Amino acid sequence: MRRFLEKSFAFLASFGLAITVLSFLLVLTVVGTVEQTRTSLYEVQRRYFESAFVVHDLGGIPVPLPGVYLLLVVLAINLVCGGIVRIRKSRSTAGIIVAHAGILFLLSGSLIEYQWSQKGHTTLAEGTETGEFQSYFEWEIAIAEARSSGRVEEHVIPGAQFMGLREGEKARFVSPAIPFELAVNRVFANCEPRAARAAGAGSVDGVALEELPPGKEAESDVAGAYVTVRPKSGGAPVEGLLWGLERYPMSVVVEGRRWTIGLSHRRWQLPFSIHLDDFRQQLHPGTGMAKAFESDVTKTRDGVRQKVKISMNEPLRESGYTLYQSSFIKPSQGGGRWWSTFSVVKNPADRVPLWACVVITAGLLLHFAQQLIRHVRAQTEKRA
Amino acid sequence: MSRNARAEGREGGRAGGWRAILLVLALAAPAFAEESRPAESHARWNRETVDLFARLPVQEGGRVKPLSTFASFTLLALNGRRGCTTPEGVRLEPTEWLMDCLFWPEHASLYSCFLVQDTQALDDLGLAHEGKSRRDRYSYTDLLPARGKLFELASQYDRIEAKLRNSVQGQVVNLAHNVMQFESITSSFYVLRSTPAGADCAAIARVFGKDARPSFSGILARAAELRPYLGMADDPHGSGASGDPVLRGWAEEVAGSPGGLALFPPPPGAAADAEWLTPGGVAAEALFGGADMKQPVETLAEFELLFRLRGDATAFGARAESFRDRVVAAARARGEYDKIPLEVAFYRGQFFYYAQVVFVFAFLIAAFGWIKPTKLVPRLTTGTVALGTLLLVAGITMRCIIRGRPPVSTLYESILFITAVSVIASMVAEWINRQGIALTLSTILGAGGMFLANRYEMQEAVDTMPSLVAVLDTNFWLASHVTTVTIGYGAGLLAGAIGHVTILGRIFGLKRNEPSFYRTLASMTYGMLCFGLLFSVVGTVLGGIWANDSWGRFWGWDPKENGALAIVLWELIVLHARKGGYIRDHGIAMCSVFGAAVVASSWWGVNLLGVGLHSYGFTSGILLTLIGYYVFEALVLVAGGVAWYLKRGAGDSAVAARMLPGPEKVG
Repeated sequence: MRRFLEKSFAFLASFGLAITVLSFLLVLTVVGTVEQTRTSLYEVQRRYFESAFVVHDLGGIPVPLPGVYLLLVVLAINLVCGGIVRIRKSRSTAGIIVAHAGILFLLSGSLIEYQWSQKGHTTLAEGTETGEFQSYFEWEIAIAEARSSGRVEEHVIPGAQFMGLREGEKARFVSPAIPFELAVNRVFANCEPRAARAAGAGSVDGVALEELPPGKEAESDVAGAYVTVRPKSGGAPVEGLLWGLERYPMSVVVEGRRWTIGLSHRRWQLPFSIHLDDFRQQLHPGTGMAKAFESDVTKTRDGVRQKVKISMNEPLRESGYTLYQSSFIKPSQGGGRWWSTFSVVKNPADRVPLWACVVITAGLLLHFAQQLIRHVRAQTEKRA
Repeated sequence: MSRNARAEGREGGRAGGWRAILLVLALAAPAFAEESRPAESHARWNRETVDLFARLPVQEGGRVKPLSTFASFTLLALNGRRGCTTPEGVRLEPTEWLMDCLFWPEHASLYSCFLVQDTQALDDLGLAHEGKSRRDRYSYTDLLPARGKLFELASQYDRIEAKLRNSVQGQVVNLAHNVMQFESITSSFYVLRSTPAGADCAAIARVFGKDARPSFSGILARAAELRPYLGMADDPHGSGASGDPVLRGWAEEVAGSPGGLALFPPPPGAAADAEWLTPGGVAAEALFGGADMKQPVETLAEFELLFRLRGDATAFGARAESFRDRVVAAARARGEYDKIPLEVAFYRGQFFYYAQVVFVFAFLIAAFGWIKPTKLVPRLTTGTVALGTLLLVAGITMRCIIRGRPPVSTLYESILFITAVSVIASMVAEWINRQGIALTLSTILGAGGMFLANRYEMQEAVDTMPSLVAVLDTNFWLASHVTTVTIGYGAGLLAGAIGHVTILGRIFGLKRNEPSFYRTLASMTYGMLCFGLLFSVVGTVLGGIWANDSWGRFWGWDPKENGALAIVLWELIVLHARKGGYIRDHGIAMCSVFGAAVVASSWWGVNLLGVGLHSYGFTSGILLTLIGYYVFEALVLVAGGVAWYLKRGAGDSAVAARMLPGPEKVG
């Protein structure tokens, strides 16, 4: 057993494993890059860079490859075993150990970001305010009761629970607070409503969802779903159709109460609100090329208001969230007002890359400086 | 995730506007084109006058630059070279050509300054080209009969994505763009020639007198008095909605005249980023705007006088000085003139051209030294390389001062910087190892890099100091990430160059009996890989941190990011393989050659994919060159593999066993 463990450790700590993993990473980086000319970046990331395994289509020949996620896990193990634990500890290897530690730090930051970050955007017109942002890719179904008091309580079904449904599969959702069961019968990642060719199956009130191939930019895809509302009291089921860009949500009356059911990009609440005071697009004089995009916003948290400017390369960091100037809509396209879009990211490891960079630089500098000094000395002695 | 790029692309690209302009231009040729033969002849410009015009500031492409810079790149784009020959055989430099375009457009339209790469494009336009070679130059007058068809076809082809256009379509679009540019320049002061007379225009008669024919600037100087006759609805003194139709028609025509050179600084008090004005722009502001246009109108008056004096060299020169003084004073007051003399000096100095010449000369000296070694040759080579490097670094430094930017912000500048890095790194390696190899390599890299830079500049034919898109407008990140990662490129290429020497040296039996020669090469390659890895890793991580600050994510698997990662991964593979004993000196050489190809892919290759957020780095027209490079490297690697196979077990292992620092077998 001991021998097995030793052999296993030696394998995990070996240069051979490091070279193999790095080589696969290089191959995947190349094929994942070229693949972006055919597929959306989102899809490429999902298939190649965030997976354990991938089957790459090489001119019609399926080539199985390990995914980058798996490779990075193995690389981290290899780094710990070979680059930290097993490596000879001496003054000459100190820099290498520090650099390895920095890379591990960087990888752990990436893992934290991948697992626990929230990424989305919020778009608001000048003079308006928001306290939430929405995902670029993730969807959710929100069920709310329309009350006369104006207060709305939403019940949210995350997209992870229904977006992966295969054809023929259904998902049912119930809650003690809701007097009906919601069944999601069919889901499309990208679709648009069209007038149904024939009434009946696959259409609701003469409208059907037509599936579309994934777009080159996945954030432009619009999801849709066929749903059935079944009152728990046993009333007649209601067939419905949800579409991500629908202006008004589906509405049903169950037991005398009116409910709305809507499909939209996943939303998150911010612990503060921002009000867009002014947006400016500065052009290089005499050209159509943007020199700068800037938004003046008022941030309000716990009743405290603060004026902040958000521009390219100068995001707003607040309460673990970062808001970046991302895009805009011109008044000619935005109803006479400028609209500003901010990318919003909550990343617990936001500053990890910076510190990892410092550690890696220090380690490599130390090691290579030692190597260089040794080599120069040897050359000088040789000439002497 | 790509919203930034889309936003900037949408704002930066003017394809739609381009098309609209083409359609408008297709309707009518400029007025001078109707004059089939120039009525007056003109003598060559005085040298002093040309120099004066060369230093005039003009706003173009989002920045204020010398007129000579504008003329140089415009002529390069049209003619494929920085010069033009008149029908009389007189060779004009760019500023002279531009002055002819401005003051003698009827003459300039006869100069063969439109390079057509393939006569097939002319066949499509229905233009005869008897007596011309396949790639030849044509005058504006030659192209005029097909002008309508040219713009019509260009408008059609412009709808096709650039990379999907065939060669002829690309040429037609390019030619239309060049003709449009030429017309824009030559027509820019044509508005000055025609003004309404008192006899034809009631408003002019009332303000200037019945028999008056005021000058263009004269009318603008009294714009306040004329404004009531323009019939502007919001003018409290307006004489009705229609005003004077003759005056209004003329005013609308000159104010809306397209294109032209922005030679006139905005009036005092204008915003820091206010646009400079063309004559049409001055007219528009004076007649319809609300700003005090006294100063620009006075400057325009000087220019108008210049136009009238164009046939009198002495008077023209004197008036040009007065005009220059006004423009320079206004530009200086706006803080937009200080770098103009330096930029003129930079282009006049031709630092990079001379650096190329010096590096080639250094190579010849080094080559002589390999054939007939003497003590003097290395010193002479070192001195010559140092001179070339000095020219290169001086040029880069001047560019930094002119633009107020770190050394690398465009692909062109990356060539200059990478060349400088690889040459300096070669010199350092030579200083450490004293074998003459790195010194020789520095001459090749210097000459090659300068050739590439000059070739790229000629091919692109656009200002190499362009305005930057919003995301790049940060000196901190340009200085840290871009500079660092570019140094990494330079080191990777130098390692590859040393690898070539190793492989080709072994194949051709260079220093066959001197194992220390190859030991030194191997340690130099290793050193460069370490140097490259340090800067590639740090540069790549810094790039991620920049992306995190501007796009909200550290790593987005964007092609340019992946290119940098590929270099890092490859260098890590090589260094770990060496440390693990999987490769030895010949293996390192082979790997470094492959590594140079990886660098080339990251530097140029990913720009050809046309996807990703780094859209400002996209380029075209280098695919064949890149493929040629890859084929060459593949041949070198195959040859190196065969050489290793044939000689394996002979001397290589003995050499490797003595390598410093020694490989460490782990397992």
